[in-house]
Amino acid sequence: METAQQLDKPSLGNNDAAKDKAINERDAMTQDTPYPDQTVGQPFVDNPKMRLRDVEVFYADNQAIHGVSLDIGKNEVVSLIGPSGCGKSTFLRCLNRMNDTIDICRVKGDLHLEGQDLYDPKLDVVELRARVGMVFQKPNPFPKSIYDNVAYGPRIHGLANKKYDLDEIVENSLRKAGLWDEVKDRLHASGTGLSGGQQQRLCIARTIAVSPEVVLMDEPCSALDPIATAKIEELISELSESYTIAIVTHSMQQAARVSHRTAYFHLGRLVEMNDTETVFTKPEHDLTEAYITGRFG
Amino acid sequence: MSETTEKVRKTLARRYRAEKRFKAFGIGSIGIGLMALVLLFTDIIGKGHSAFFEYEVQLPITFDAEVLDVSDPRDEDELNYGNYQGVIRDALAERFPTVEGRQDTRALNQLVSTGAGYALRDMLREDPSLLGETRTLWLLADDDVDLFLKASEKQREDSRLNTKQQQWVAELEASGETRMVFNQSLFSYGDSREPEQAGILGAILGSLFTMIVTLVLSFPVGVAAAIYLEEFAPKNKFTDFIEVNINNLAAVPSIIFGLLGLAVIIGLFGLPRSVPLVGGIVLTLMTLPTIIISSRAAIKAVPPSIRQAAMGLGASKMQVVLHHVLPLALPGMLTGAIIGMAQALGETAPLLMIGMVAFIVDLPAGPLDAATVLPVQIYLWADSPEQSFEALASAAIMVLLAFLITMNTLAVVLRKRLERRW
Repeated sequence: METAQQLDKPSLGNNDAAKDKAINERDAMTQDTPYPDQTVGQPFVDNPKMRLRDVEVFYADNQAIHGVSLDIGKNEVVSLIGPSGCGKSTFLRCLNRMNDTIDICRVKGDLHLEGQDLYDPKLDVVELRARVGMVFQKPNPFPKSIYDNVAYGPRIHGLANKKYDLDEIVENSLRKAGLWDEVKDRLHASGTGLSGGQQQRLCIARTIAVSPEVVLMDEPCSALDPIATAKIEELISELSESYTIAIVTHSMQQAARVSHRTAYFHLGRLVEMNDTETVFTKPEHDLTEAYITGRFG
Repeated sequence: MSETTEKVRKTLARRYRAEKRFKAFGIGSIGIGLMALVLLFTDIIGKGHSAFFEYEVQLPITFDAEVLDVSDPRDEDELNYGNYQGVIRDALAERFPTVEGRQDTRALNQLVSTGAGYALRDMLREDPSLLGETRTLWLLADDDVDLFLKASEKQREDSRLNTKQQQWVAELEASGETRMVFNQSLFSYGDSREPEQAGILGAILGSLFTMIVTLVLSFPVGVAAAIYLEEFAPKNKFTDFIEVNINNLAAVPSIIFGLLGLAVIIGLFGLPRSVPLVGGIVLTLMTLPTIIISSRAAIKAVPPSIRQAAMGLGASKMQVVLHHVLPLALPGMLTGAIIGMAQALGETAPLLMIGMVAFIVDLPAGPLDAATVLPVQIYLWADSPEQSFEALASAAIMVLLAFLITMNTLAVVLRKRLERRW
């Protein structure tokens, strides 16, 4: 849907010459630069955590993702970058089947998590989402206490039988999310009373409380100030020791700081994927270069 | 000064005028609304307040076993058939010894309410030793006497009492043998042909049972329908059709639901007429669309981010609804339900169709006893010929309004209390 709207959006205001020019330039770039038949760079790794091949996503009749293939390695942070509406969030949401909740959305392709087909009709989506957790763009704590927020996942999955076990899970998760010291004295205060950055860390704690294998993050810092962002980025680096992380971001600096490998999406296609350093210093494809140098986006 | 500034200045005055006009119009509208409200309340309270009080007449009553024809007050049968009017007549004759002739005696006896006899019987049942004793008692006055005593000098000329009766009453009043007391019978009796004995307790109980039936049926069904339609139902032509029909149902005139109740619930299923159970079912049909629509709005107002968060953690659809959506939507649902209930409480037309308009003296003991409801009682009294019923109808309106205002306040308080922010 996002993609369709972005594509159909007419250029605004005829008097805005500078903007027009930029749009024309971008269109020229898009038309002149052919898409690669295959993704350039090295999208595949040995022994991946997630193996994704020929992923296509349709919103009704609009194709939002065109044949994207890539691997996400174990304990790796992969960042997905690209201009608005390029389909990176849509792609991310395929990885724990959050797109199932949208009626008109269809997903095709082979998506595997350690040999398990994600779209196997026999696979229970509840089980999948316990293995692949997600952190959203806007902090969305439940309007419950901090403790209940973190304890919710373990409770519904029956991960802790005793109050003592649950307390331990909550404390560990909050510690890992770097929030424990700030909230340990008010665990039963409402989660919505925290600051934006704290809320987002609470959401991360909530996600890792069910010990997922993969954590998906959809622009987790876009609603936060630079200090809160720095904390989350630090946290992502620490978390990568125990979890595999895929993060969608609009900030190229952020992608450069936190991720091991970077994938550049453009209009629903995966243009280039490589080591983060390579992508930002020696991009192979012209579109990638144009984007990271800020010529459009 | 630039050209733009000049042009802007020219239009400023006009813009401010338009703003002022609009403001005045708004204030005027609110003023009209408030005036209508004040008018309504002054009229109703002005007419109805007198019904909360009633006059009593003091008489020395002798519980004469012979006149009463009661030899043993512990015998319920004898007690019930006792000639209590007889002792009252004797007491009146003693108080006004000069009254002679059949017609005058009859006129004299009309001063005391027929209900006073029942009061005497109850006293005798309580205390059997009263038999043979004489007590000075306050007895309920007849409604015409009551009206005469409540009326101003000028209005008294139009009284339904004849000249002699007026003299007697004036005499009693002058010697302090009349008094005004709180009208307890209003809140402790059912309907009656005699205004001074008529009460709204029967109607209140009828309304209560009807509301209980309506709430028990419509809230769970309405909430379940709303949750299903909002969270589980596929979006297709069929569900669209259902949605359109629910909205249409909310606009159906209520008397149609009464006809449906008469034809189907009474006619087909054979449930008894005039009972709160049938009234409750009919009002459920009427209230359901309101509850479904407001519940759906409440569910829609739950931010999708909360649903996504729960689903992202692996909560099943049912868990998302039960743990997150329902608790957050509940205040809105309750508010909708209370407003629906308030509508149902004030509803008259469909209940007329199913026979809840009957004249019922006994207090209903349950939803299967014949009963009437407050708005229907008001309708019945407003339709009655006796002048005293006018005040009673207004008093009943005041009681009904009190219930409605309480319910609406409850809805507001509940919404404020349970409302959560995210």
